[in-house]
Amino acid sequence: MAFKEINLNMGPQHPSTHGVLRLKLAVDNEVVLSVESIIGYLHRGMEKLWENLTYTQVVPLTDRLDYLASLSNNLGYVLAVEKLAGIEVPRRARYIRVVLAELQRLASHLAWLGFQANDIGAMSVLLYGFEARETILDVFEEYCGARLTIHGIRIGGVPHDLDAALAARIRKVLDGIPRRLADIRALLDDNRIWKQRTVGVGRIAADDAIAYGLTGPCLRACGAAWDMRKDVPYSSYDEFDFDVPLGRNGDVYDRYLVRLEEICQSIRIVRQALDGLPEGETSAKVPRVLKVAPAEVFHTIEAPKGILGFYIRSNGTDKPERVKMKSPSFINLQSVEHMCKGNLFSDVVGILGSLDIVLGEIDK
Amino acid sequence: MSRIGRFLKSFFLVDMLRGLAVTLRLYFSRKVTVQYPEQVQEPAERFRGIVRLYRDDKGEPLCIACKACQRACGTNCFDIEGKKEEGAKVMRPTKFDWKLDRCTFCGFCVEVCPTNAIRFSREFRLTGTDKDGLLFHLPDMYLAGEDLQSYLCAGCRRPR
Repeated sequence: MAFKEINLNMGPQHPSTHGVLRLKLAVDNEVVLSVESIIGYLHRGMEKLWENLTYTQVVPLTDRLDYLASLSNNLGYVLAVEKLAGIEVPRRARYIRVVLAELQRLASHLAWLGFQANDIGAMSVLLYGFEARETILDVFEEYCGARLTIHGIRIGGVPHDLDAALAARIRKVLDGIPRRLADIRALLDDNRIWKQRTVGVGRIAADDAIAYGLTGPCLRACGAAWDMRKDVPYSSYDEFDFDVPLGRNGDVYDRYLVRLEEICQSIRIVRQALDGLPEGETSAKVPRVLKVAPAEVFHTIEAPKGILGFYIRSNGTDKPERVKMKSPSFINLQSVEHMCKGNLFSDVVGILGSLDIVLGEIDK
Repeated sequence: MSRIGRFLKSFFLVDMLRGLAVTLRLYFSRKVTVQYPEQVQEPAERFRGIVRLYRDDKGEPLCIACKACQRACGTNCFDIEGKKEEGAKVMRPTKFDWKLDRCTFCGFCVEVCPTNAIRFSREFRLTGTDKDGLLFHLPDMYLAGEDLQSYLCAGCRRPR
């Protein structure tokens, strides 16, 4: 058949773009020639908005960035402010933060698993993954009263103590997840349709991934071991024993395996944190009106999607002069053209899903 | 695994049957879906629903119109005016407007309140048929929460 280039629009209203993302595709029959991602449909001017709010008032708005892992955003921002203001957080508060952040990672990965399988065509996985995620959201509801936009971390500590009843409930939730995961693995791991749609699709080499700035599970699926929790520990992560799962081929299937293994490692971390929960205060003394002397800080954490960084510049008042956010989804999205080129048109959905992007974080 | 083993596994659809066994087992497991309007799940103890004002045991309002919640709010939900009556010990609010459509349910107002007058209710039905219903005035603030259950939804505050 003669060469014929066709331009196609995917999105902004498309169920598999995970939000309002528009992809401009050039295809030759079934093969993708180029992909151009057009973003900005969900832009809310977050970074400018934060300049008009006090340091404390910003925290609930960071929930609205990556709304599938809102607590990780809270943690990233709060740690940056604490570094800027020189606030020492009590050890118990740091442990509770680890418990919550890892539960949030579980919830985010389980939601990803459901969406990704649903995009590729296995709908039962969506239902099973969401059932497991629901039990984690119930824990968040019991801890701080909200499920999705949690606002579960305050500057200087955490809002509530983690009592024995809640710890027992978290353990019960953790016991249930591996069983659900085994069901999902039985459905997907060897399934020939799943393997044909994922193995060898959307490959990226480790060098290219680093050059594109890819982070998080997508980078580790290429075999590059870089996890901020291990390499630049924050919030007492150096006190826990866990492995960093690595893939080999950097394709969609390896990203799936890496995320599944990360779920198991997160369960390990939460169990250790609950076992070794130290006694003490849950919050440091923080002045009600927090004024920070002129300085600047950049702090990064390992969010479920990748490396999340906050740059804050203070000017002596109770409001930040400038906040800039390094969002993992935005940077991971840039490599989508590299991954899609030469693949089939129908695999664009699977590749885009495997990057685990959230548009709230991309457009800010 | 040998080539014959792989061929047999593939020929007899072992991977598919394993998956179908899971779906079949879970088909007969206990249902987890809550049929919402008929069945309502009770929110947790700390649930952050609509904020409401409380009175003390004698029926006196707890709010002293100090505007701490108004200052703490990041989204400007509150519009409060207070007045001290002749002979009264403390200020009382004469105007207490709260905008449901602006609230992010972050909880700063509840945390800063010195008299514990403003607290979260467990009311989660936030819809309304017109925008006016989303603006709560002083009497509505005492109504909000458990008393709202007699209404269809918090936003319109129309009887069922």
